[in-house]
Amino acid sequence: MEARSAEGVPVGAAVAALPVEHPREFATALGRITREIWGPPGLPQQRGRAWLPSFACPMTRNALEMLLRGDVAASAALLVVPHTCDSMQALASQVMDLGAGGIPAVTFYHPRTLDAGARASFLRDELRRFRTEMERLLGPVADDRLAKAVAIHREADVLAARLLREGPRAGLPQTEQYAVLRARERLAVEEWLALMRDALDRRVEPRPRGAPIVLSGIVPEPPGLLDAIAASGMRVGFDDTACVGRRIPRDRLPEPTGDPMEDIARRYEALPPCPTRTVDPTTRLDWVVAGARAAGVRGALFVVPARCEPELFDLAAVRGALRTAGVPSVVVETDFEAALPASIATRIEALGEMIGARSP
Amino acid sequence: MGLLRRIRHEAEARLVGPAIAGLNAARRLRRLEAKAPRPPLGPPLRNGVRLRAIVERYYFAGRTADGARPVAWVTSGAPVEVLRPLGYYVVYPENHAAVCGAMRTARDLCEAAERAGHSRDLCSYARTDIGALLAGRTPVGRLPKPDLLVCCTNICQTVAGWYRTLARETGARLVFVDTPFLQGDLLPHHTAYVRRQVETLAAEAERVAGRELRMPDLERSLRSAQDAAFLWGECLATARARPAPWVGIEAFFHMAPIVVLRGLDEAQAYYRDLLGELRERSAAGVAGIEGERVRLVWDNLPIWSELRRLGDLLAARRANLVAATYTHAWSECADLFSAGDPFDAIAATYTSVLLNRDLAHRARGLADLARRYGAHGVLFHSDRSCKPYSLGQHGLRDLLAREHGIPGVVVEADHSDPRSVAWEAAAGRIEAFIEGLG
Repeated sequence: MEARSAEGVPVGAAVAALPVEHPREFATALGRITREIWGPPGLPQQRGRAWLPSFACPMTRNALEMLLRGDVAASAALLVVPHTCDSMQALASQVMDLGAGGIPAVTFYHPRTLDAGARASFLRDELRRFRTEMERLLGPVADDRLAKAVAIHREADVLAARLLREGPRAGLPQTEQYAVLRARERLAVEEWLALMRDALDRRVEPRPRGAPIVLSGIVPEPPGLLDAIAASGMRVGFDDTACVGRRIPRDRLPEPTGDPMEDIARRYEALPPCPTRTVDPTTRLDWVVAGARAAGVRGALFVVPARCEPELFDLAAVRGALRTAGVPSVVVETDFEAALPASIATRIEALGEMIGARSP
Repeated sequence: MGLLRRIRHEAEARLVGPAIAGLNAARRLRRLEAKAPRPPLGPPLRNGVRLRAIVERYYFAGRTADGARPVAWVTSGAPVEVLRPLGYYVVYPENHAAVCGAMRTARDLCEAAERAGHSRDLCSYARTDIGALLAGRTPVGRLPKPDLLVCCTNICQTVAGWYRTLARETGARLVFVDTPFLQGDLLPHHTAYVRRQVETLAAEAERVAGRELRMPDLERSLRSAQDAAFLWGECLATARARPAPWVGIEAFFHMAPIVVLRGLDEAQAYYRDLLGELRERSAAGVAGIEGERVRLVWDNLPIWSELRRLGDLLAARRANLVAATYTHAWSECADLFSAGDPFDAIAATYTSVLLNRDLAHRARGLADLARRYGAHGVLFHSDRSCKPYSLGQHGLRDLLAREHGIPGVVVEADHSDPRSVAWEAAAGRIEAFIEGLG
């Protein structure tokens, strides 16, 4: 009988992953759940302080704390570290070279060049390398199982895009809508699909309450953020968060080619722009402005993790582009607190008042 | 490019600039000769005066470069050898920001960027340059407008955001050379990816310059960069002598030519002379710090705004920075330049630089530096503005102490923004560390 952790997870069964994006299909094909580590918020700092300087971002800091506490190694066989930013890469190197967390790790590099041909070619080579590394550590990935995994993740993408596009549904407040969307970060994809189908069975709200806004940032946290948005008479009309909106291909997905590796590459290429992967100076601005217009938003809320360079570099430009499009915005900074600080709640209220969210 | 502008630029770059720099150098040399010794500091390097003249000429030439010749703004780790044969005037925003930091104008420029909505948590080099661009102010007179922006990610991902911003603000064409981070070894698909991008860079640079890149010229530019890197390495290696013939902090300034003139013969000529002077001093037993007692390695960029105070603090304790990972990084890849095909050589060299390598590589490098230079310990500058260099230093410090018996101390500061430097706290840690070394 396989040993199980307190959560009932077979020891070593999961694949843990750091933010933001990596090809999840390989873990699925290996019959393993992917557990993503997005923070988590409110984690008391103990061991990590000896490893990181004070200016590390909260995402890196909390993830390292979880690793050092042994929480990750207790439930996962492997850690996947996409090259999201310099901090995540440094964290990968601390795991792989300095033994932090006591777990083997595999990296995935995002090709960021503007040279489309070089980018496409490298992506496919890097996917092959990633597969080889996963196989070396976890065993062979059968082609037919990979094809099934690609198909099921494709279905997951289609349903997630639909839930985002169609907006609030009866009996599913936005907080729960996001809980469903984000459950994909920790559930087996089959289990998550059942949850999603249940959500989609509910009737679409014909006239959803709340003034639509853009929500931009890495994660819609600290806890209570979405409640505060709702309490201020607003709702998310267009999601530009790294953990949700930027990971779901929203235009039509490329048709399957019959080659699962090629399908994974094409799915990756169809993802919306994210500053952790996209370097073109205008693509993301155009994406956010177009999304804002299509959703008829009246304002924008940027929830930026403290000291997060990928988010911060584009912030002035994205806000400027939205301002030009007539969309005012407010920025809140989060250190991944356990609960919503009053200062953030106050700024959200101010945004609601500014855009007349409560006006009849 | 306009003929009149070209004539004006050539006159300023070849006649006026050198004449002004020459006059300034003569004045500085007289002052240097008349200067009373400042023990325990040894006599200053004569080439320090020449270095300032080179930097003055470089920035002076830039004032009139736009419209006269193609101008590229590039990251410090960009493969500039491709641009040299095409006649580009090359601006290094990082070097410019370092100059601003050392001249204590960085704070004002950072604040200009912050007023435009750029967070104080962004790299202070980036804020300094963006601030200079937005405010139209620089202590070097004027920076020419770019025709081309070349961003190579081998030093950090920060530059990706920085150059996106520059592209939006200047409207110049942006070319990326994305170098996959080497967690482990350089793999064939890494080289193929980077090579392809360097070829694209070459094509774009040709288009902007309106000239064809000739292979013999590219090879010559590569050889020049390689020779300069070797010579720079030899200059640094003179500090293996006991006592070291120069003050290690000076190396942070003398690295300017290997950054901004790499691929030009002027860099080689400078390092040949500097090496001669250092060897002379070594042979004559001239010390950078008289009575040198403590030998240290520095990890990370310098704290530009506090270099003088750091120098005084170390000298007072007869301590010298005999090596720094940052200055050595510019010589370490020299041998890779010779790898056959020029584009392959560029791809391998620029992908293998220190900051694009994992912590295991950095730990080996640090231990090797400390051993070769007979260092007693390592000062780790935990730099708020350089996450790839700084995150992981605590682990490196512990590993070096545990496996190599080399102690280290971490000092938190910033390479350019003086508001993020608590000097008294940093100085206290360094003093206590040196005291503990005995």
